[in-house]
Amino acid sequence: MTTTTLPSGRIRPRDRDAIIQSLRAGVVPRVGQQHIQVGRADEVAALLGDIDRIRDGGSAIRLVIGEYGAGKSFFLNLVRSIALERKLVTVHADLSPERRLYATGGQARGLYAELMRNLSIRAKPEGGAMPSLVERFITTALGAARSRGISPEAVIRERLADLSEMVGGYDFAEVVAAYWRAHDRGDDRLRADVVRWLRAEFSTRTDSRKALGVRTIIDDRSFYDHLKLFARFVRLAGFSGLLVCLDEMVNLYKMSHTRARNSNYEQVLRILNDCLQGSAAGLGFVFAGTPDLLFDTRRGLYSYPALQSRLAENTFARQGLVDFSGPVLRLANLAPEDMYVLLTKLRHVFAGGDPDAYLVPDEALTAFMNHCAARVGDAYFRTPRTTIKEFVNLLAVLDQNPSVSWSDLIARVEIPRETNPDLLPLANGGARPASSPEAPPGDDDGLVHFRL
Amino acid sequence: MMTASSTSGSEAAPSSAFGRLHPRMQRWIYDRGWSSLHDSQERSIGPILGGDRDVLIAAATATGKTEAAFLPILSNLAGDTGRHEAELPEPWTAFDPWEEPRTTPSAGVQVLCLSPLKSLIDDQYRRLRQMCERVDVPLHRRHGDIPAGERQRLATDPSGVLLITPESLEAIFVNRGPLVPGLFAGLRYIVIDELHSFLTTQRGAQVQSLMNRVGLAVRGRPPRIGLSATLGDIGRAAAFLRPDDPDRVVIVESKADGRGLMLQLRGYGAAHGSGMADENGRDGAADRRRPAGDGSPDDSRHQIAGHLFGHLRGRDNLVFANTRNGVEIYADLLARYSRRAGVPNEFWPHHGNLSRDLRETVETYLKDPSLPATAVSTSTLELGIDIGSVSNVAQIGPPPSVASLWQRLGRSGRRGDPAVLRLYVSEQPIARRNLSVSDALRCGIVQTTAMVRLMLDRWLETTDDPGFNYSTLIQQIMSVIAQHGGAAAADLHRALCGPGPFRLVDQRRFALLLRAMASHDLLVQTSDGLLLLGAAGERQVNHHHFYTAFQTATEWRVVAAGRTLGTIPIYQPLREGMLLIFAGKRWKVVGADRSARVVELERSGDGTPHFLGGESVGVSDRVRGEMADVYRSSDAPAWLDGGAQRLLTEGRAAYHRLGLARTMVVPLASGVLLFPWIGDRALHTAAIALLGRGVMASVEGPSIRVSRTGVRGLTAKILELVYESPPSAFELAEAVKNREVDKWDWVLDEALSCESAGARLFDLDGAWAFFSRAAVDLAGVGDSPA
Repeated sequence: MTTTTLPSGRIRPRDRDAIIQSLRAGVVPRVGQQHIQVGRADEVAALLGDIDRIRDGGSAIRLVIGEYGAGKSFFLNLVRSIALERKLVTVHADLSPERRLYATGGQARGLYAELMRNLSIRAKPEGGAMPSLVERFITTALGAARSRGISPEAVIRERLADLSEMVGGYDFAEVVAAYWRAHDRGDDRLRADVVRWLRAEFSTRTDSRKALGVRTIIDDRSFYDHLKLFARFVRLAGFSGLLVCLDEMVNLYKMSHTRARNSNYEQVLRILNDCLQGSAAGLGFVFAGTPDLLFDTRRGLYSYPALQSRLAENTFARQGLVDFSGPVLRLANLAPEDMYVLLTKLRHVFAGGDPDAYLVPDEALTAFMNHCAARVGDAYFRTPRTTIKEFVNLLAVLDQNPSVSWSDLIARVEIPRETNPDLLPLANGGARPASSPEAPPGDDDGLVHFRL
Repeated sequence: MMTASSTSGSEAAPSSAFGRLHPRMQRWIYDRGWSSLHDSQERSIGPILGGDRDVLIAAATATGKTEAAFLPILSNLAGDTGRHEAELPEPWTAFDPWEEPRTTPSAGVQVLCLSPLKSLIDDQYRRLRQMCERVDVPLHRRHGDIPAGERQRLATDPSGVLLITPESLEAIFVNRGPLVPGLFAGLRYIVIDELHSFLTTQRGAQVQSLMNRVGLAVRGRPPRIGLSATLGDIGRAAAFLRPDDPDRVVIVESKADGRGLMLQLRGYGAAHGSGMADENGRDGAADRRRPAGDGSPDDSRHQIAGHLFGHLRGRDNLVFANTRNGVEIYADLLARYSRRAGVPNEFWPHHGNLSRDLRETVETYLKDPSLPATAVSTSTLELGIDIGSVSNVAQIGPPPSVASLWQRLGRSGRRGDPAVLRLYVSEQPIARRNLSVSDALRCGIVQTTAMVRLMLDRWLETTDDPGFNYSTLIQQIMSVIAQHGGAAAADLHRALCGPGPFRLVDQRRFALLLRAMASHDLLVQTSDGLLLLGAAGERQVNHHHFYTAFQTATEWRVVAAGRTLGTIPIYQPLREGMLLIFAGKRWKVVGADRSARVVELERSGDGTPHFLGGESVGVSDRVRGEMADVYRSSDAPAWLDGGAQRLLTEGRAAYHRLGLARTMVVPLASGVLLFPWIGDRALHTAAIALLGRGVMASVEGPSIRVSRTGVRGLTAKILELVYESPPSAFELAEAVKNREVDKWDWVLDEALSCESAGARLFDLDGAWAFFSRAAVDLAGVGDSPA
């Protein structure tokens, strides 16, 4: 599946452009991750096992724990693409203050809606596959109806029957049945309403009743129940299972409202229990977060005793011994050697897989790494995002200005520090803020490296 | 249907400004039957319509400041048709189910109006509703008493005008941080109502910080519109409104008179006014609780209570007494008058020692328009009571500051009625034996007269020196962290410590402050440097008390020989060895425990205690100067009653008898009294400097009393001080025990606390200028006692 040697052969221009564009924007590419994957063979194998378990109707849960920039998001995307290959349906979302596992102000519904907007199947790996999924369910039902000579509605009802015994299942079945009616009559508006309902975009019961005749909506309280329901539905539609990828779990850790944070941890516990006991059929979760999220005993997952005992690491897996079977999967930081391999892969992708088209020689890679190390210390390989971005930008300039020498450019590479853009001073309009003599603007070094 | 142009031709002298208003706003003006616009309205329309300048409207209450701001603002909003078009439902045929769902773009709040009081917001809400309806601009209000349904309306459809208290806005930042940019996406104006009430307070620093943070959240500089009472120094208000560019603030100042002011200062204890009490003797309860320190005899108390009872009953009123004891005594007296007269009691005590429950009951009585009620309250709680307008405001004893007089006056007489301010000051009868020099000078009545004169001159205490405002900065740091779910130190400093209330806090101090906060577990740091709230910080932020920046003054427990004598607020810098007057006796401070707020005293044999001034927060230089002026002039303002006039005459006589017009020195049998007529900060600084030289000096009202040292000895010590370089405020602060005054000061470490308290408590320049003058005056006085 993955390999640390350079993949031979050309890379499709479409993949190449997608990868380069994503990297230059500082985001993880959604396709072609295998071209720039470095290391992590054991971790990937562990997740492959999870995916197989889900396919067999089991359940799985993993907490991918790594420092900022350790490549968690990249790893999540890689796992997702493998899952899609294996006929799973995937949903994924980043947690944020407005998207949480548990909430009373619509944030859990917000997370559900985001997950469903990003619903992907193999044919639609980039999200927005909800309509295709429902269509698929209907088409298989139609086929069955034709071969058995009964009405499609009856087949659909029959198939949805075992959903009805689950929490919220009856109304869920009603909504899916409404899609069949819409399909039958060519009622686009009804079809759209069904999709909106499934994507948790109805915010009031009244609207839902008016549009679809069901009194329930997917809301904060039913977030997890509906995920389980949906996992069942996915299998009814002919897929192998549902994989839920939740990134930026550190946002739970950052929540400043103690009670709200604990409620979210309780939801994590509920999911963890279900998945470890195997009672969530065909459903898997991959969470990604920083070590703080897990290990901080004051506000991290470890602050919740029931979670700490379940997530505690295997005490034997130390000093070179490994255990990839526990729910927690530690992603080690990239080593400088890994970074070097990554740069060679980037160069390879940029050249479209053609070694003759490499824009820089090997010594340029070393020079680039040395330059970055001198500039921002070892942060450059601990947070590869900005480093990668600058390297790809460098290649882009070299590509378009063949007369320029790479050694001149490397000296000019700036690795910017990440800041919160909302807190930057305003630059526009009126008088510029008079700078106080004690704190000349721009001289922030004292606080950038601030430690309590 | 009239049109603007046809009617403006027929009406008498319609202004050019009028013509620029939106036709529906013009129509609203016609419907009200206004024949012309007020001066301030006329002049504010142009700059506000322009929408690119900050505008400060200073005018008396009830001259239509609100309209002056909102006529042009709503005209501009009415011109915005974009919002209504965006709201039109799209036809369903255009809906493509395979596309991403269309989210309705919500306009966001367009006008943010910060207002200091809930009752003021409710009042504004009533006034603005009609205006807003005319132009279909939604009007929202938000404060602690707004029911959930109305809050929901703001959350689902943020739009139009939002009236809000600073505390509720803080709550939105803390609890709904990620929504803030969307909530204010369409922000076009920030309006600050009653701006003068925010000047130089911790709450003002909070308001400035919030305005700044709203700007950061929407990535813009919406113009700020300030509404203020007319002030002597309007530049201060402009600097408050836009600290980084006060010169570009358009100032619209109107001298037009608003509603009237009815004012009387009643004096008790003058030679001819004594002995007419008809309430005699026999109330032992009041006697036992009487703090002997305030020196007013029972009969003036009864006279004051009797006057209050006769003039306040049947309406909603606020009575301010300076101490809790005073509050209890007057509330008790008034309740007994009610019982005796066989009428239901309408007078309730309201101070920090009462349970929340009791206080809220009183506030409910005051809010209920059908139920007349009077709250007798300490001055320290005035910000905490939010009850709307009352008909009378009464002040017993000299007011703490001119600013608080303004504040209190603002509570009285809204909606057209004149404001009524009644002041009561009692002095020791002149017949009493061993009447002190300060008592003979009638300092209470003179100080009150001086303060009222300054108020009528539209002056109030402001300061050039912004101070560090660490307390409010601590709150703002935690609020920003809660808002963003964590922030880096450099980002925090950039966002908060620009021009404005925290401009003195440089990076070094900021780092110290963050560490001090972390030492109390208010902050923690993640491995990548992000600052988050610690366990204690979360508890604070999750509590609704977090949203207020100010706190009412805390009191100290006074203990002597293991026995608790009582509690008092201590405003002056407290240090070991200084003298303190309490319960009618003179004490020496032997120790103080900051965290437990306990002062240990032992008896000091330095004679009998005397006048204690106005128990005030810190009388300013200007007030003391005005007092000297009151002594020197001979006229009596018409708002003094007979008793007060007699007291004033007695005071002036004593002033001239003591020769204070010529010198500040009054030699005593075993010491010296100095009357420099400077503010309390300088007085206390001088007293502490003298203490450091081994001179027994203490501040007594407007004077410094030096015991056991004669004129000659004092002259030598003062000359020493003058020729040596003065110590730093930091050094003086190190010995001070009561450095923590503001809400979050307990977080500060030794260095920050001394720095901040030093800047707040001490006036070294003033003290040393006084020493120079004193040296000259002392040289001119012989060593003979008066």
